[in-house]
Amino acid sequence: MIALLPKRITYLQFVNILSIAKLLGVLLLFLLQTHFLFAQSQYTLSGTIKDAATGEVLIGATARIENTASKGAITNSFGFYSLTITQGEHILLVSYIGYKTDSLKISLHKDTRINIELVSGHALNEIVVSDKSSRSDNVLNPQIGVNKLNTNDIKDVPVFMGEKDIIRTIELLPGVKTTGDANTGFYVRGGGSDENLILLDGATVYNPSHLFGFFSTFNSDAVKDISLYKGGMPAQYGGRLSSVLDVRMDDGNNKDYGAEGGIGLISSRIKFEGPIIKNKGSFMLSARRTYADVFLKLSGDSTLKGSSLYFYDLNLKANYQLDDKNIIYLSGYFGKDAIGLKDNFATNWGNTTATLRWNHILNNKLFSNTSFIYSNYNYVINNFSATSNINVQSKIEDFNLKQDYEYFLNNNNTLSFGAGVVHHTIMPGNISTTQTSSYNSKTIQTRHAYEANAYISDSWQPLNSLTIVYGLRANFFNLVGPGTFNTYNADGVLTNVSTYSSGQSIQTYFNLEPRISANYVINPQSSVKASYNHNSQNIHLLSNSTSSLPTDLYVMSSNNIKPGVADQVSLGYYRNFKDDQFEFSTEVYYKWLKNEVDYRNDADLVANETVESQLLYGVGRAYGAEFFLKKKYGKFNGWIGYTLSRTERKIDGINNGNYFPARQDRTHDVSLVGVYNLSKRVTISAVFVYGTGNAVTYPAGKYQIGGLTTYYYNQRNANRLPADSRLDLGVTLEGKQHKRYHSSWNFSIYNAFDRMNPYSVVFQDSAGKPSHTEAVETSLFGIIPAVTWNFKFK
Amino acid sequence: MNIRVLLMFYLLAIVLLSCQKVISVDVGSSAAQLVIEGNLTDHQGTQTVTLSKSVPYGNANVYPAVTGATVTLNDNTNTTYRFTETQPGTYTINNFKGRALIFYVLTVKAEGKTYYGGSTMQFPTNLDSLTLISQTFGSKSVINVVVNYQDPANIANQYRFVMYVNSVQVKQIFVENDQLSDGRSVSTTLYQHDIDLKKGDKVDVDMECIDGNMYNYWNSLSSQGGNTPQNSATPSNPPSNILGGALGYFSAHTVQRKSIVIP
Repeated sequence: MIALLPKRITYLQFVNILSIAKLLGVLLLFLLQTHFLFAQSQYTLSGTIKDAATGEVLIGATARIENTASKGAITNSFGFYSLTITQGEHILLVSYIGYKTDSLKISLHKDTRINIELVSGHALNEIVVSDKSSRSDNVLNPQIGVNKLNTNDIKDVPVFMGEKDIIRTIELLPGVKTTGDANTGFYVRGGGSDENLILLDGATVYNPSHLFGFFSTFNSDAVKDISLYKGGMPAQYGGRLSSVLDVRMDDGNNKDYGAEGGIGLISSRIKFEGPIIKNKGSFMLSARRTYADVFLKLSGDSTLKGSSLYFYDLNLKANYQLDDKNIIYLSGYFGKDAIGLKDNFATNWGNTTATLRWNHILNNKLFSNTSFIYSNYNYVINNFSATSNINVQSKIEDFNLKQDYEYFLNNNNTLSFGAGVVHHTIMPGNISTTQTSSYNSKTIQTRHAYEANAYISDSWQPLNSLTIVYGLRANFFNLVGPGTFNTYNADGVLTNVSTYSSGQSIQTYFNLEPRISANYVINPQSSVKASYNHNSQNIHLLSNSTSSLPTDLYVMSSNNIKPGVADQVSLGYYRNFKDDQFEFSTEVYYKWLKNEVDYRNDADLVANETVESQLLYGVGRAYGAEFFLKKKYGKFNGWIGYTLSRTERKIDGINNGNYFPARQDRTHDVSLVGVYNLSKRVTISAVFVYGTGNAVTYPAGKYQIGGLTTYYYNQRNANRLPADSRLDLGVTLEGKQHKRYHSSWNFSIYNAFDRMNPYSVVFQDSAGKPSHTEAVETSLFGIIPAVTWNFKFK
Repeated sequence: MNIRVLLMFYLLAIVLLSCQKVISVDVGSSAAQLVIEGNLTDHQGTQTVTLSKSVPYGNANVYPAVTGATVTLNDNTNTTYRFTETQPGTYTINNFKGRALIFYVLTVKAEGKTYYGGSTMQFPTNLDSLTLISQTFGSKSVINVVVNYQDPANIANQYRFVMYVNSVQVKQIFVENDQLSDGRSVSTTLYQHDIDLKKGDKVDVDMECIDGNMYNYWNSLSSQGGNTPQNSATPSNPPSNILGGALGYFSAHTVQRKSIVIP
């Protein structure tokens, strides 16, 4: 599927490709417009659907006409809908999960804009039985392999240390796995943890974890809506092989000021929101900080007093409606982890993202979205001791400009298309030292690349019972100078060294990525869905440790490293029961991965200029079946997820070139989530997880080298850690409902059975039984109770 | 690199709640394989090659000696030096030393097969001194030994350190190269958690200047223990410089010892 462009593509050619893409887009638009001109007796109803209390736009709300077969229009990421119908009198039904359905009488004799505000069940303090169309959305939506969550879905799920965490919650969904207690790195359908496209308001978040992976970077206070695509990725997403986690930040209330927050055992949070100008614009500011180091300061020990150990997050979002057709959004994230020992060393790392976005409604059918996006992940390491003095700085940085359009052509076709350019910079390490240090100052060459992409996709409903979303994404990657580039052969031996000047092209890769998914609705309660998608990836993460370390190395596709590619097919059956109270789905998938990057047995990845000589390449395959049963409404709700799967890799030079299980391969993975509203003020909840142990390599034999017992390994990942399971419990007590103030207590118990789940197994000489060896299992967390007090003012 | 070790140390310190237990594991088995351990130093004296067999994981740490083998050493003048078996599995040559920059080839004929290993004797780098560093982690004060030496500029140097506390070897591999410290006056802390150092303990440190292949060997071996955060996620066999399919190594290296007593 990869066509390699001639090696030395010039910028002129590059610009030509872009302009051809642009021309095609314009041509297509023209054809579609002409097509539209013939449909004379129809008019378009469009507008924005918002929450009545906060003015937040609602994503995925439905607007449809009563007594028609058509399933209506669904709002896009910015709450915009467009519906083309015959002229005359109609009743418009507007609905969204958890909101009271609104019905409006309309008289349509010209193109009309109607903005609608829905009242949430939460505001009414009652459980709203939503309109049918939005309740059966999982059956009717053409998208396969997608899970959507909002903060309400996760607020009652018990969590580690009482920190609501979206990544820890999505790990409870089928097809999503983790490799242990202390890890927010997640694995989707056999892909690596670096193969997830994690977006915060469109900006790539490179390292989604805090504190070596105990917590995620997403402060759930600041999050509005989460979509996880495991298969059938829409064409507007690209750059990663296995999944898309699209996180949207809360816009803030544009009607009233409010503050909310929480005080917990490990961290505290505070959030402010309110109108900039009432009904015109709003802001949201949210902050979170852990305070383990506050306890360190209380310590009598002077070294501990001067130590640091904390992380914080800041989320900021503001929007302003310039007029009826233009909205500007600005959102940003800044997070940092710091760890240090007084006079010894200090290290910190974190992500920064910023998104500036302009929504423009060109006409009642064409919606435009222009974004300028910045993302940065960096770390700094300092060692202060005179003889080991060193300062290492490293970063990965992206500038991204993109233009997206949505064109609501007619009720049977919605087009999405757009293009974007990304500039990537990877600075692997700037090392500076003092005169007395054991280390030299050194700069490992910074790498630059451009990535340009264009896509078009059509959601087409040829029959009332059939929806097909088909599209194509084109991705062009260009590694550019300046720098000295080494070429290595398959054995890692240097074969060529070339030096390039600034902007000179070193290597280009072009990938065409077809995407198609289809949904056949058998009856309003059941449907069959299928999809195929092809993805490519040019940024790779190298890590040879179990934990997610801040110093894990990013590399880009190069003269040595080819882009990773993945093909995935999936097939699913969706069925709702009992008046849509229960939803059931099952999906099977098969995924082929190519150009997977691994490293040689003795690879040295830290501050290594020639790291590309240490790499090995191979293929992977992953397949499995996922089952999901969810109860959506009522006093009791929750879900059961089960995944049966296999994930394997085949790398030249490892395991004699045979397939071996990837570390994240888990045969069985079960999760149960239950939330029960005991009364209006008491909610109890429980989570149970069970999974086959990770694939690990145990020794097959042993011998003696240099006076030490040494282990002999013959097959990679042929063994298993013991299975792990865990029960978490939670209780939420809501305080009395005051007019402007509300508080609640959340108690949780992590690992209620105090089960010692395996984190690692090491082999060593037995202490008690000399001349024998023993396997020692380490477990991280036993039972951990936590309490959080949450409050809200408005 | 020290930073990595420190970071790991901290990660482990965070995980104060962690708990450890001995478990029984189901491991595969492997046929016994020849293990060659050949050392040639720059000190006039006895040079030793030991031959043994690996055993299945579940066995006791008793490694059968391989007897009756023919062990020879060749230098650049194509002179062959023959080792004699002085104890079962131990082959020695007396009054011999390796000379700097000579590439030596070890040949072992055992059980009907022939194995070759090659290694280059390095120029010695002087181990200037041993010093001590005391660090406080929580309420615990930990003493570690620091090796101090001047790395020669503009050539690749690799070092291995072997530490003994009151003549008991510390069960840890210490290996360094000069990728980040070429030509510097280097102080490297030999972090270890095998034997806690106490007042009055005598610590001996051997510094070996080893060749590049041996650095890769020891470096890979040092991260082999298991799938812990400080070790490689996927342990594997170190890249041996022995041709013919045996485990182990042949290393020509310098050796210099310094001692310090914990005050």
